Amino acid sequence: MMELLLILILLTDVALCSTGRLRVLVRTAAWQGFFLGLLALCKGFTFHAATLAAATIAVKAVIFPYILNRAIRKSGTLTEPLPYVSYNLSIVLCALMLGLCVLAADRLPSGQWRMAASIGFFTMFTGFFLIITRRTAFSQVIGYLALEGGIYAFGLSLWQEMQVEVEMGLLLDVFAAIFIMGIVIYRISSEFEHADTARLDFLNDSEEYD
Amino acid sequence: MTALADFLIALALAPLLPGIINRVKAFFAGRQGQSPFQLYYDLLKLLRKGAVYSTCATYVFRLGPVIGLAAMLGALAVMPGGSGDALHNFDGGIIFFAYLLALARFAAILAALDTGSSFEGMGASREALYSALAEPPLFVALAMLVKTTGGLSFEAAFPDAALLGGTPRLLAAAALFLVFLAENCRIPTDDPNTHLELTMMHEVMVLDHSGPDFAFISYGAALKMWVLGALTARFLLPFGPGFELRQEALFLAAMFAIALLTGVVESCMARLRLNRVPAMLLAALALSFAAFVTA
Repeated sequence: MMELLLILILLTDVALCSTGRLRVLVRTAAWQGFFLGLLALCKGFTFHAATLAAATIAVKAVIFPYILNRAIRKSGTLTEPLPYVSYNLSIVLCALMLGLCVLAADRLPSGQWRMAASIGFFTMFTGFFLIITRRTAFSQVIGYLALEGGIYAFGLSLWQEMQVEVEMGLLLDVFAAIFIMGIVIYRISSEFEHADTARLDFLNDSEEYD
Repeated sequence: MTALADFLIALALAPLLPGIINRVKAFFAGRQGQSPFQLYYDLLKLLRKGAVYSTCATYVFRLGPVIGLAAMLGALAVMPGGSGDALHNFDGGIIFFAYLLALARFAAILAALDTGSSFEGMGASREALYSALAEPPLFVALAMLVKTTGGLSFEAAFPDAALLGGTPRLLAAAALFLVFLAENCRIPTDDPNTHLELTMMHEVMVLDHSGPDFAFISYGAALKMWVLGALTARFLLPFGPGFELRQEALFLAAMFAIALLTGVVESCMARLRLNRVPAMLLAALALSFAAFVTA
């Protein structure tokens, strides 16, 4: 069961790297959140685990997609315009990152959760990768989400006893961040008519930018 | 003995796979459709005909279909069928198999270039590009098999594939199914029904072949479908050696299920835009790489 969930998370990571359609990205990120939530139950069905799973699924698979979809609808940006790294190259780099992450996770004392550690790493790197290589603020926010999801999966794999308070605090942070970003993206796109962050390079005090 | 039976079964049933795919497509389109045995009739008809050769074509053109068919027969000989035994079993058979597929492709590309037709040259160029992209997922999936089982022949490797978890095998089978679609020129990459469109690949390369040559090519294509289908199926069904009726039935059912699935994919999907095809094959690579690292 856990292995299947991890594979599904891995597939959502690859999917995140391979497309620039924002709605598809949001949907994929929502599924990833759902699988991450279920992952918490794999350490045994306790009250803490159930709370964590329910909170994760509620926030990542329901609330975030809602906020992001609303921001996308308002900004009118539907696709990523020309990412810095092409989608094909992204998939190849994704595969390479996966290999590196498996090697790295081999050196950790995570025992039978070795695979969860490597997939957690991989999800983190996917998040980093999206933040670095995509232009619209939406993809970057989704990258940030994946990054947090990776930390979550990684945390699950390393600690024997789940630190529910820590996870909850993390979730709250991310929630606040996404909430603020939703507003910021809306501001960016209404100010510059597009959510492309590369245009922020042209900001200066002179009157040249119009 | 059972290996020989498997070989003959494959030879006899391979032309049925395209027939099943066509029948499924016809069902989805609400048509009656041609008989599933249509390819058999076509082959018989073509074999009775004479061949026409262009004056500017050389022996390379005549050699193409022969090499193609021979390579497919060789590939079939190292691939175990339902019984778990291969007709020809030796260490390194897995690599031999991959190279035979490449050899058949090489012969087809040379024959296409030999006609001097720019149209066929274009098809050959695309075939070369996509088959080059389809090779890494195939090799990574085979590497996963070798890494886990230590056997360099299919006969040694497949029984031990049961040691692998279900998920790596499923991932590898999914990757190999994408390779199957691309290598057999099925829909997300190429549309086997289009004969005069600028986006087609396989069909354009064989336009100049006629009569028995074309029969060889069609039969070779059917065998290729069988061999790659068997590879995909055997990742999911790791039988031991020896003949068992249940295994044989399961294997044939899996082969027809793959044909059925291909028909469904063809009915439900449009062909990908030409420049999106590499993304599909790279996704296959990512899948088989994931299988490799999780195995």
